[in-house]
Amino acid sequence: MKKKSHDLMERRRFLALAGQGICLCALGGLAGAACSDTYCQSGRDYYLKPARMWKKLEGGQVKCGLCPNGCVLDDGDRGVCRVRKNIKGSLYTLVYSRIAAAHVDPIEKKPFFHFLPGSTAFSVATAGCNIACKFCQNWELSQSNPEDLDAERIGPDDLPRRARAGGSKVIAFTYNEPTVQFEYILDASAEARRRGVRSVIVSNGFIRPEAGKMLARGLDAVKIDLKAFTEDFYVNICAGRLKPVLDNLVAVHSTGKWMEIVVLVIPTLNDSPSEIRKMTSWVRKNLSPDVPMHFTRFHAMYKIQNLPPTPVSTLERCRIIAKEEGIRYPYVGNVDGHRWENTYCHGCGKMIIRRSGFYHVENGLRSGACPYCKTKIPGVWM
Amino acid sequence: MPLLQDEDSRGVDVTAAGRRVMAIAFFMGLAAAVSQVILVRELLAFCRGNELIIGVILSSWFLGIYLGARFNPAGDGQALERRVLVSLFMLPLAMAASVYGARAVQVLLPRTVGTFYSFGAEMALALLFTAPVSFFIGFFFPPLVSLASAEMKDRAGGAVFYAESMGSFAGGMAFSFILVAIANPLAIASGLFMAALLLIAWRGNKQFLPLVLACLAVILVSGTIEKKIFTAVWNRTHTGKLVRYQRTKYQIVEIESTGDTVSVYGDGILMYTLPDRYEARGIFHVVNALLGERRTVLLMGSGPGSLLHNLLKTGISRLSYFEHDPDLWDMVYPFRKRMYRDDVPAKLRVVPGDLRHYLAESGERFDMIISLPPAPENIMLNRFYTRDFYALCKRRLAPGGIFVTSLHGFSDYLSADRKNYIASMYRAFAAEFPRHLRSSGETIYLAGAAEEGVLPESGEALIKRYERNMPLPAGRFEREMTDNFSPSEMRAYFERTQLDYFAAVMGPLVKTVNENRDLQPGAYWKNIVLSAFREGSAFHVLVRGFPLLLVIVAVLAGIALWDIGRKHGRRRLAAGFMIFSTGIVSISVMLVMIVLYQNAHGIVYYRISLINALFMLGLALGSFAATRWERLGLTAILACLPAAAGAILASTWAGADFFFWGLLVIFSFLCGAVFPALFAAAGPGAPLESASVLDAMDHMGAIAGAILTVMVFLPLLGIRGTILLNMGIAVPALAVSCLMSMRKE
Repeated sequence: MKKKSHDLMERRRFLALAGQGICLCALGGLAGAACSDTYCQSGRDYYLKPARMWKKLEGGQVKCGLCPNGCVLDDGDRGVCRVRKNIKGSLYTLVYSRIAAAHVDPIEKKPFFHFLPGSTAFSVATAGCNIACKFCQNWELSQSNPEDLDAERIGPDDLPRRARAGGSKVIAFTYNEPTVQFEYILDASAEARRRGVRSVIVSNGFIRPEAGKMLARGLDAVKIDLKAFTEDFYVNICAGRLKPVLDNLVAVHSTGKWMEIVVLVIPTLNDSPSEIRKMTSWVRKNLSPDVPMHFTRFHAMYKIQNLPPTPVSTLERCRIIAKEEGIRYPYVGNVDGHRWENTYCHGCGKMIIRRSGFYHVENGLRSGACPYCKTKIPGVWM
Repeated sequence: MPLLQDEDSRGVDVTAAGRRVMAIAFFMGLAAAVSQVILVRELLAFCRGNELIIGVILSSWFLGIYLGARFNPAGDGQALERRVLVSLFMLPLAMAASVYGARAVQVLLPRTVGTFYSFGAEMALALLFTAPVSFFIGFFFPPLVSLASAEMKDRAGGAVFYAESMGSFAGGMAFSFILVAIANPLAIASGLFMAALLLIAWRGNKQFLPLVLACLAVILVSGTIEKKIFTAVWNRTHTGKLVRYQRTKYQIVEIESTGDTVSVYGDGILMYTLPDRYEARGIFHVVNALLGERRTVLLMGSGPGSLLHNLLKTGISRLSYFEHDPDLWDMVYPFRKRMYRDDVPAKLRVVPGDLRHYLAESGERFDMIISLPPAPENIMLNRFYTRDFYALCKRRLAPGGIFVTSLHGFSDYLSADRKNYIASMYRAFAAEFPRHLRSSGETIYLAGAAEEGVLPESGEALIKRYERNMPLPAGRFEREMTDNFSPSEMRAYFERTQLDYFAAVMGPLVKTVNENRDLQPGAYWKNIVLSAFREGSAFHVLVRGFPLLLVIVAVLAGIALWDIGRKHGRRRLAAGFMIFSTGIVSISVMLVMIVLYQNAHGIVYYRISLINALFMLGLALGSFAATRWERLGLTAILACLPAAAGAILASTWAGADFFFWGLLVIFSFLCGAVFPALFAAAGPGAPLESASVLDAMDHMGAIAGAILTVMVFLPLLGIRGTILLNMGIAVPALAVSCLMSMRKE
């Protein structure tokens, strides 16, 4: 018996020592990570600007008021979005003029189908996002810290010039969640307008309505990703919430800016007919039947790597439901060559804009109206 | 009734008792080999199937054996016999529980549909489902050696090890040639359980015999039971309904139906969906634009859907479609026939087998070779992204021929991990095809030719060339290919700013990054790093910080050896150290052999059991020889081990296939000879302790070897570097042996 208890003690000691060894190694790793975080504070100061939409709290804390996350931050902390930081009791943006990606894309790729069809958009992005969708196409931008990305400085003055140099009359704030770059977009869109360049945004809509309205006033068009029409989806798949997005949709729409909505249809997660029906009915009643809705095809992306693409028949069904609910311009997206990527007049039903992918657009409109029945087609055509 | 004594206890039949010990050891070895390969196959269907997870599964396997062997307290004869009996019965039960438990865990630990568990979770689950099975393999060994030593004295360890190894060999062969095609894990587990019952009954414990009938009944209905379990789990965890599943020689194929589509999965990973008409539109037109007057085409990796179907309707005279798993074509063909409403036309030749192996052996040349493989998630797939493969394809192009392949691209931004990943493959391609056409987008298509002037100068030139062929013949192709089509649609594949961005980023990087090679499978590892980055988990730190893992392994090994030295003395410490080193080397080299086989032949999963079996044969022969032939001294064995590894290294240059099997057996022979030689040297007076220490440290070395090989050695050093390193690791063991010999003298 003595020997057995002696053996037991030895086993415990062995396991304890092994555990201590592993903990030491783990601490070493954490120390390395902490050092890295300290190092990042010596980043580029010219990207640092005082933020807007926040308030001071007791004890050096700040509360960000940009998005519904409403992060309360201690000194040195960053928000969920990773790009707004409390520095000694004041909130700063870390990404003012910080551009990590810049490309010239066809406007249809955003997708905007009723905004200057056939034109190109100088599309820019930075790091960060205030939610975390498991199917994010640009996760390397949206789920990164700004200091982890290669970036260049494009000030509000430079942006319109760069757009024109690329042959674009439109600037698109896109790829990651652009509203986290709130201050920059306000300034850059104002400057662009002064120079005759238009601005659009491609956003998740998860922003406070007052901030959404401020942004929208400076822009020419807004495209919102309506991820789903259930809180469950937003919470479990996107780490966000649906209601604030809906509130923001109403607020932005009230500014009169051109709006289009995209719904990425993901098999079994947000594609049920009842959900689509509720969604499209809500859009018609609370926004307008003229708001185009794009039901786009999902492909394996980011963390959802092992799911088949959305069946085309599912997208077609979404489009049919949208039509039944009174949406005048529902589209099927990410299905090059599908007839429902074309635009059909809501008056006479004839095809008025033919699209073959993003790069082939035959626009048959005459002064923004159907060439056949003269119905005014909603959109921004010039 | 005692297990290892005759009924007449007054006169124990020594030879019969010895035979029973050997029979039990043989059976446990057989059951172990079969269980291990089943677990590897089945767990790969639920984890991502790559060498990292194989290494983790093997490590978990050895960890279980280590725990079973190490925590084996002393006991009297009856206690020891009980442990052996418990192990006999529990091994098959634990195996079945693990296989079906791994399926059930997807219901118990639900994840968002279409996602994978994190690497950390996969490793934890691999450990959870593997170690309890292998625990019994470690648990039975020391007591059986102790029981055998009454008769066999200091030969007991070697004899039991030899019998166990022979059983493993037999199990590996049986699985490789018989069981792989005909039985499911439930039936196999029932069969093993039944064999255990009969083994016990052989010596008088007949009260368990009625259970044999129960086992037979389970075998008969095992197919139905398994189908119900698999279907229930699948339908709860996937988007579609499971309509068909089958274990082929190479993988577990599952076909689900969602509305009007079917999706085909191999080992749980989505391969393709049918119909894929709109999906194939873009690549079809790019290929069709390049095709021109070319007549003979080879196609791999797109699935048997729209691209295949529409290529057959162009002007080509022959299309060779490669399907590595012949059973897969047969399973999918009825669905395909319903969707594409065609039979297999005369100009389609379906070639079952590995493309690389075929191209290397056949010498046939093609006007166009189209290789669109899945991402290099394992070394088998990595082979389709190496310079060696691209060089082979170049040699197999007919004059004026074009090679088209794909890489995973990017959406708008290239992160550091993605850059490195793409650069290693792109560099390999550009080295063979310095003048090539490259597209943009989330899939990058590359087109190369062996001669100059064959390819258009740019994407724009390709589009203009295609425009001259418009309109496409009416009604020839699928409507989804031609409706609304304009060649300018193809500009989506050649977006200027995306192409320029790629060139600007890759330009300097391709000069510094290692190109992806068969013997330096960098892209495979970088894909794992990228996947870990995508998860945003702590695992990313581990895979980027190689020294961390080495330190962890060194610390744990140091603690284990110190513990042995304190409890069992310096002699056993030295023996423990030596067998720890050879344990690392044996598994590391075996993993390298698996990779080498895979490089040459493609899918290895149905051959893992054969490689394992021959390895076990070598172990058995080595332990037999060392037990019987005292001249085969420890120092000589340890000196030959690095030499054998060196021969394997040399074979990577020679490239001759027939060396492979011979070298495998020779190397494992030497590894097998180590245990009996050490057992004799380490502790003839205390067989239980000696067997426990040696078996435990052998398997601890195997754990270290498995995990370090897949996570550190292969990624850092490649295949040749890993073999060289293993030669180096064997040297300290040799040094200690020499020291021990000198001290004895």
